[in-house]
Amino acid sequence: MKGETAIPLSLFEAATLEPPPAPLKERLRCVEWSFSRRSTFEQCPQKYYLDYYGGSKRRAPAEAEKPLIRQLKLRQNRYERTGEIVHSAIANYFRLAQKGTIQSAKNLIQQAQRMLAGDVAASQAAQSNGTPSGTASGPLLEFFNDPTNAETLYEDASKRMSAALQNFASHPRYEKIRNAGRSIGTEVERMFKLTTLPCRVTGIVDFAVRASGKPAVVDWKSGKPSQSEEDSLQLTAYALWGAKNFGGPPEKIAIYKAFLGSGSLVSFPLTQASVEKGKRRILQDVERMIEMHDYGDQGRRRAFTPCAQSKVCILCPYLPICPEGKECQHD
Amino acid sequence: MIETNICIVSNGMNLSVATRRARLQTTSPDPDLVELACLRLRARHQLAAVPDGNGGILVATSRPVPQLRVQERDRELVIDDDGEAGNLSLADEQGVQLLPTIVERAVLARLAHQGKRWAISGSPRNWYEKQPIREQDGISVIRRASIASMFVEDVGVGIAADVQTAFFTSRTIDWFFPLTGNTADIRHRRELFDRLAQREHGKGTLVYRRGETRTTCYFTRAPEGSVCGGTGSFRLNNVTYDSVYDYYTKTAPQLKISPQDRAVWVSFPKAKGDVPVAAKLLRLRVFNDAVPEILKVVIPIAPRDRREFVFAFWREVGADVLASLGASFEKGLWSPPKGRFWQIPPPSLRFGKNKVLQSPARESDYRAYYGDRIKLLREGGCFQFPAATPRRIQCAYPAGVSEASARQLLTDVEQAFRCWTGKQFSTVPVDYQQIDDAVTKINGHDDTTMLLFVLNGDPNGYYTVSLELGEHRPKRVTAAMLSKHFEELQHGAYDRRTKTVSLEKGRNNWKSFVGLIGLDLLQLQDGVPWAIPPGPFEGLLVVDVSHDRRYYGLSLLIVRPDGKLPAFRLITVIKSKADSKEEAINPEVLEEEVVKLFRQNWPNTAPALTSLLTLRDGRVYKGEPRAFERIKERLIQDRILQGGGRYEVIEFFKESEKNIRLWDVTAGPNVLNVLEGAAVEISAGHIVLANTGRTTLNHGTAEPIILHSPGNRQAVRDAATTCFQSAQLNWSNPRVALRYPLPVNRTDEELIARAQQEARHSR
Repeated sequence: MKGETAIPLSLFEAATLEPPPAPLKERLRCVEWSFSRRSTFEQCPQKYYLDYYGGSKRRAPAEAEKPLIRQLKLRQNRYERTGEIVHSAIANYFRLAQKGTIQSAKNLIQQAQRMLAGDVAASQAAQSNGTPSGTASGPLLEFFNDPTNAETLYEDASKRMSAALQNFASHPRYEKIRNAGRSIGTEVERMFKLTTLPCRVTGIVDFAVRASGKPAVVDWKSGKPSQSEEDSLQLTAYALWGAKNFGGPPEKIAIYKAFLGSGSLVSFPLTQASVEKGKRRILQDVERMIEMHDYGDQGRRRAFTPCAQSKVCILCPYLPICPEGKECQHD
Repeated sequence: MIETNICIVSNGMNLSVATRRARLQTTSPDPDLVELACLRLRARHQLAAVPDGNGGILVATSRPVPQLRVQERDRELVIDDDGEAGNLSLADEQGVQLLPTIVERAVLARLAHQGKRWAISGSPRNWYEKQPIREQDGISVIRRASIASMFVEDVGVGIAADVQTAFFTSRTIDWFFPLTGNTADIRHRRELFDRLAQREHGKGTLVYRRGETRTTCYFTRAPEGSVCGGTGSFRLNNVTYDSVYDYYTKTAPQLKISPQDRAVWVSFPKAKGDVPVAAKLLRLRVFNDAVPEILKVVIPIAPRDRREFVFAFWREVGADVLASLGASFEKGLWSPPKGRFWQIPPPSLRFGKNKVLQSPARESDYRAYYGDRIKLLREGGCFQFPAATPRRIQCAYPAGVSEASARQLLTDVEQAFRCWTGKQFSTVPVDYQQIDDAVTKINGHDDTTMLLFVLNGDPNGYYTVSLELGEHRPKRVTAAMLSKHFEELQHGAYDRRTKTVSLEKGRNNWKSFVGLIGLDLLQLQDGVPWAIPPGPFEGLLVVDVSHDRRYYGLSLLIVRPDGKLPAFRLITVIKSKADSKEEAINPEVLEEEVVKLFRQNWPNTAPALTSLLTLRDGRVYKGEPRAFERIKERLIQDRILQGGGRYEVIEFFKESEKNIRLWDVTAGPNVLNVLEGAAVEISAGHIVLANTGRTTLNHGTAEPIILHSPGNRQAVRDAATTCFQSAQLNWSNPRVALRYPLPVNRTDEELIARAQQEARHSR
């Protein structure tokens, strides 16, 4: 054989300048998958870096702007903040309900509006004085990214939030859920970790119950159904958790999205094939994140391309430190 | 005589076109809006216009530019003549840059004005014939002309016209998603749509016809029973519509859309989210892979017919097409003169036992040069077979595939390996019910083996095998293919020539099937069936991005003189691309990953490369040029590349971006394909290279590739030589010339495989 006589092949396997990477299987656990993490990764790699590495205490020690990133990370946009208030109000509603107190819609809405109004006032003060917001949450980013329109945007956001809570508390479509939520066994805002996949998966289930024998998971959405909700990876993750928590196969878990903005409740039937596809998607997401993990750990921000999409960037807390994001606002 | 499909504009290098400058008034002069202004000038006034690079527009006219107001969503642009008249000529750089585009746009204006053909928005160079040339099984075959202009050095402005074939469904999409009918029929139509649209790969490209405007869009979903009047409200360009019926009524009443018409949801390029549209305005674009076999015969077009088409097309456009520029086309097509066309000599090929397949001295030797590769492989064995390769071959096969077929496959692959390597191998069949069973059984043994994995059609199987058994470097085989070939081996295959079922044909098909699987398995184990001698570059690095931009691939081929280790090596890696909205690779990542590829494979003691060629598939742009510079610096720093070593970065286009074709016109006139290795230099640093040709191409016209690095004449010439030489490493299909250099081919195939493994549609 030419190869074995003329070329001593053993030399090919001589030590190389750098060792080869470990097999993928062995690296799968170095990144934790969550739906919000994968969404950020898909939407804007640079925001992903700033959220999970640049602003992290443990990661990216070489990041020069760490204090500023950590400060900016606290800023929330109107969708995030009102979504958080709605989730928190509903969770509180069920906690009280399980103790025998039923909050009225008016009460729920007033509390939520008070919270948001407090945030707005604190953000206005922070924006004009350059002082911290003084609320439990971070400042509202519209007061920094889009100050001229911020007040109007929050007036609209407050109306949408109130409508969502009104629907939650009084819409007949959610009556069964409200009733089921009074029972002690109901899971509300339950954090979970999945151990059934080769990678680490975490998430928060808004509401889960074993109603009349069939386990069900409900995810609250503040808005209206979007046009492409039929194939949700987030819900597959819930089904995987439901299978572990309640027993049985994931496709037997009833999964719903409650679109509080429109008062609709949409069921998402899963099949064994769709669950398998979801699991594969999660693994492939993790694989993509692993490829960027070392760059993140080393604080190499430039390896994470900013998305530079004006509508995304205007809602991003890191706009002040993203030249590409600022530039696309002028396009 | 070698001829191209390029027509040259009269006056050659003395071409001069009168222009007027127009100024633009707008609040946001982004490039898209300026291009839109050029398009509107062309559509309304048949004027060829181009952005001048200084914020204005140059219009090919000697008269004042008519005022034009362009409104696009919330933006407005006003175009006014600014009184500046001038001339564009090839004597200056601006003329060389802009005149080809001016000429091209003059032709496009004529095509639009004639109305004999139609185009799809966003693809202004492709013009479809109005009538299909054939309709069968619900598919319309439509020919299209595709044009592109270029500067031809020392000759002038040229414009290439080519003919291509496109397939569309004859029926509109509402037929595939009926609102009423029996369940079986509804299911059948949906399945037909899914098959033609290749939905399993997440595809579904549609053409949306709104009056005379056609736009590409992508199928998203067709909810049961959805009609235009019941789609629900949506917002478009800051207007809210109650339904898509409401939208059509207000914006295009002439389309006569009724509330009861079927609605489906689609997404448009560059637009966020999906929107409902009337299904009767949509047709499905059927891509070649999904076209029924019976229609595939219309895809290859012989050089003679192609050439005839070019002449017919220009007759259709009219001899006075460039009259507005004060020009015309020269008669005939451009034939490159001596010095601008050459035949790259094929390299000799090196097999085991010092066997060499000599470079063909004359054309009559080319057939044997391609035909004898398998024979030499059998006689001499492979050039290189790593000593550490496992000596056991396993074949995992699912329930439903006969054990006999798996055993036969194993026996024959082992025999081929013994012949190619001179080594003995043992074989182990592994049956499985679920892929997980196979994974457990195979991973249950400590030692790594070579692995043939027969997949049972489980959509997750491909990925699971990669993830769980990747260390075995598995060669995947589909159960359907194995069963089909085994059936033919046992009972014969249909012979079209004799119109009988022939046992011999069945045996030959099986041998060929096993041979190709064996060659793939050999390559997966880093075996080298045959090698080429060193060429102009010691290293060839290929950088490519997948179509969906979610992956990029790097391939490195090292070919050096004996004694300089590594002497022959091919490595391919596929990486995820985080910024999938961008075609360009993030420069920081590109630099790091290329350097890592070298460092992880470069022996500590290896002598440095004296030369390295990098081929970037597609354009080198954004931050990539700087990344390639940094790669050079770091490779030199790591002593992988010599300090004064040659380092070139060249753009490589798999499909001739400018639609350039080559053929050989002989007495008769007879029009033949060129011989493999024909290269034509369009201008310094712009070469068209045909790696395939008349020796092995029985149907159609050779499809050349393009190598591009403006002004870099010698580098691109040497790159062409390197490309043709490495295209002789056609290990996976030895009798057929390879269109691309092997590293390009390898990267391309692996990127496609990765894209097919992606689980899509989940949000």
